[in-house]
Amino acid sequence: MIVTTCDTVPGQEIEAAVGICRGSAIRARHVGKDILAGLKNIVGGEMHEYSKLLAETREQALDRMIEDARAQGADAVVAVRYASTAISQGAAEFLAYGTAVKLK
Amino acid sequence: MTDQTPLPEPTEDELLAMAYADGELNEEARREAAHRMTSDDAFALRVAHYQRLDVTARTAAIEPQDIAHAKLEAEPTQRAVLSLGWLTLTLGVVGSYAWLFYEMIRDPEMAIPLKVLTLSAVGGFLLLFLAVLRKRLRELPYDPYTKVQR
Repeated sequence: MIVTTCDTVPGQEIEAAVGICRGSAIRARHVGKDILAGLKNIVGGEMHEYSKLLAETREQALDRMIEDARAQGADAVVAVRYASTAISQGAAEFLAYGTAVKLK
Repeated sequence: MTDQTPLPEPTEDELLAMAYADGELNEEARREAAHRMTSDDAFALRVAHYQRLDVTARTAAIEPQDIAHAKLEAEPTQRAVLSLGWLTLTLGVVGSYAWLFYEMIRDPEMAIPLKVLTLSAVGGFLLLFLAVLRKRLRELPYDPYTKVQR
């Protein structure tokens, strides 16, 4: 499955747009990691606990989007975008969406 | 000298799990494999293993600070400080709440129905927490995203 942020797939021709495909995920770390991340606010530096949380959520949302495109019979996803919001404190939400297409 | 022993051929199950994780199955085979994962834990674990490899393969490369971070995490002093910190914090928080709760229940001025309701609330919270924890532990082996670093 080709996944790109471009509007086209370079070197290939799009036969048809299958539809919008999307995947979202919300994840949280356990309370211990929240406490350690809170202490990082005092000393500064990268919050590894939350970097990891964002990465986990991003990858899961991306995989769900690919799965959605595959279920629609697509060969590729173009114009992929990410959106993020805050539903719950200490949790990360990601929405990955794009256009599922069939290639020639 | 490099070991020249050829790797064993993958079994049918391994090939199926790889194909499922890579999204190479047709719709019917995919549905069958997904159904099998609900009853065959060994197969589900195998799929989760290949999915984990896929996820970690496309995440960011190691940065110099990652090595320093990993070294620090492995240092006995750091581990001891962290362990001691968690132990004393947990003991203090759980102990204080347990004591407060015990004193409240023992209080002769507190009405019996209120004691029962308080016990019910605490018991309910603990049961719900246990259910959530149990669910998390059950699905943890099938969660490939726990290995993602950045």
